[in-house]
Amino acid sequence: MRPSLLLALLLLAIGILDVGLLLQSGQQRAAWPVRMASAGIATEALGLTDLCIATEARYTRHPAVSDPLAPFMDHPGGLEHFPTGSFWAYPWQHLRGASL
Amino acid sequence: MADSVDMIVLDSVSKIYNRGRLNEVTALHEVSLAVASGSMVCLRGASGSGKSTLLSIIGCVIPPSSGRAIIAGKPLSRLPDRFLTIHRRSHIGFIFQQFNVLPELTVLDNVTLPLLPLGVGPAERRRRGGELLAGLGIDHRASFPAGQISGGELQRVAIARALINDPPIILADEPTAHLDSKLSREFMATMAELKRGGKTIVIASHDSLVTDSPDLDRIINVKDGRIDVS
Amino acid sequence: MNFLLEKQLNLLDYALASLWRRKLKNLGIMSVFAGVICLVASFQFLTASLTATAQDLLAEAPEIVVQQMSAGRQEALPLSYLSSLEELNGVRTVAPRIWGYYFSEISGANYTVLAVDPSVMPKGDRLFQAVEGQLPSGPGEAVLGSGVAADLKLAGRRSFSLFRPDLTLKPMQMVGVFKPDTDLLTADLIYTTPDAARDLFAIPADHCTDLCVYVANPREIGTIAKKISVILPGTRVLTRPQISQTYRVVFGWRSGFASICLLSALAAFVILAWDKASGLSAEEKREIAILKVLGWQTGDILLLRCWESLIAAGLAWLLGCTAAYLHVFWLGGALFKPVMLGWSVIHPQLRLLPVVSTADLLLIFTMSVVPYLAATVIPAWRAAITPPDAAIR
Repeated sequence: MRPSLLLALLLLAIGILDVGLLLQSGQQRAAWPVRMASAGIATEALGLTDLCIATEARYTRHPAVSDPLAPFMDHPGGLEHFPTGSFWAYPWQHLRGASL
Repeated sequence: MADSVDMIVLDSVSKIYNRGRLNEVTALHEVSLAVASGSMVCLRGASGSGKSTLLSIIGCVIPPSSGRAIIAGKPLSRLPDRFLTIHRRSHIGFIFQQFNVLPELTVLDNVTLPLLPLGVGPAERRRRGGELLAGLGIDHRASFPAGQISGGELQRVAIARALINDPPIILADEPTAHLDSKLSREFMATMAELKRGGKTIVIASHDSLVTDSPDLDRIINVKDGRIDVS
Repeated sequence: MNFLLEKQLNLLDYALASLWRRKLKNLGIMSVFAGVICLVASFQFLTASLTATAQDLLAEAPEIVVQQMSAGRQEALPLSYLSSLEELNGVRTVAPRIWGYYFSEISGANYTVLAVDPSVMPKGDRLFQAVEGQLPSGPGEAVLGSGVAADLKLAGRRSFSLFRPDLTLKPMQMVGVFKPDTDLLTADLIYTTPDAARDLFAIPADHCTDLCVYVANPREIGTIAKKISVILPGTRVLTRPQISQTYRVVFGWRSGFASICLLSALAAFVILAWDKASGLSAEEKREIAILKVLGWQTGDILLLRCWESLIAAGLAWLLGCTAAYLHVFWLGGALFKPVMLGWSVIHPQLRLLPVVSTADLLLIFTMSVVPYLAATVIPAWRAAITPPDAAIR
């Protein structure tokens, strides 16, 4: 058997897998509105504003209450919203002894 | 000088490496020679004499810096690399000192390497390669990796590879340097047979087993990039 | 035509054979490459899907939210505002809500306590469809999100207690849980009655946390929001478009940084490939020279290298993207969940809408396969255009 034929078979196998996944995702997308109907009702009936992604960070859970800066004051190390916070750590020794 | 039966014609061919730089080397000085179709000649000279450069120009591997080179009826002085390659693969078969096989490939794959870019299919490659290997008596080694066979067998693999496109010209660069005298004699016998089959053969060598061969039509002495006609 | 096809097949065969000859090295490179691509693609799929899911689910968020501000912070808001808002032209309903966070000292989790009268909310009459069990009506009754229910470790019990600000205990009664399909929105919720919530947080009876305002004509959201901020100058008025904008920006920041990290991993890989490939080994140079002398064109050698790199990088891309899809949509993005969800104790199930756009796939392709191709083919090209006579002697 030629190596190129083996490659074609491998590609075919991956292709079948991917087409299967594609079909399955299409099915899921079609079923999505039905599955999410109750989630939609909860959103509307409770007036939710956000996904429950990071429950400890109120700025991601509830940006509805985010003042431009206030939510970032709530956590002592919460500088991460600004580029600075991603490159520079808050001096943690200042927090020692502070009750979190 | 140029004759219609001459397979190889060089007219005042010079080759200068690294032209214009401090390490400029003139490898060939205005060499002129002609090799008749169907003859076998030997280029004799010490290493560094320029015979390998001469062989490379005859073999259309590099173009000459100046002068005229007509190989198998085609002038190739100013030919771009692409056309040199096309001309080379249909007219020249190479046999190298180190044999230059790819050790991980099988013997058959090595022999049929020149056929790949020509679009020859696997079945046809097996047939043509198998015939050549059988003719040289090493078809039992066809599926062995080339790195695992003996020097004498390697030599025959190199010959088979040079012949795969049935070129009119065979060039050999120090082909006996790594062979003992028995294998060297065998090699020269094979070359003589090819010559009788109508091939034009040029061997660069300073091995006396080659230069003393009765089948040689001519010996051309190369020294310091010049031809010493004797 | 047949000749060209056969030639390509020959080169492809040769490329595959030479990849296979160095299988340890090549499979190693491929799996590392596939791994890096899988990380980048997972991230891309996860954020794209979260964004789509959020857009989909939050299309029905409150149109306007009014909050009381004091000294730059949000505060409880007097219910007397209600009447002045209801008088505004174009306002359909105003719903006072009480909500806040409750930090559980035991598990370190943060619950979100929410209380609203469903009868004034849109679709409030259908809220029971999102709940297994009953809706809260009596004192201390609550519906729990699945995360809260698990965190409280009720183990069959229905009653639990929460601390008031003065550390007295407030007894609560679980009357239902939110359905698992709503998990992405409700995992951390304790939904209870306004009276119970006021009692728990010690909020005066004439106060609430914020007001949800619904308008008659959605196109007037902006206008009405402006009017509200004029008649209630001490408040902050948030509109639905603003909320989704904030949401996008917040996730944009974080995902931007993560993307930069992952892209640098990809870049590092390509630089490595370049470094390795540009110093072609003597053996590889010799092979190229032999092929050239045997009548291969420079173009043939480039094609061969292209095939080799395309097979290695293309397969890595295919496998990496497939693995990323399975990782994100079948395994719930297990590797990235900690990054995305932070240090939360309550983690919702990530049951995401499978969205994979062609643009994402092409983006990953151009950022991975194309540079790899360039990094490996260019050095081969440089070796192929040098006259072969020197390398084979």
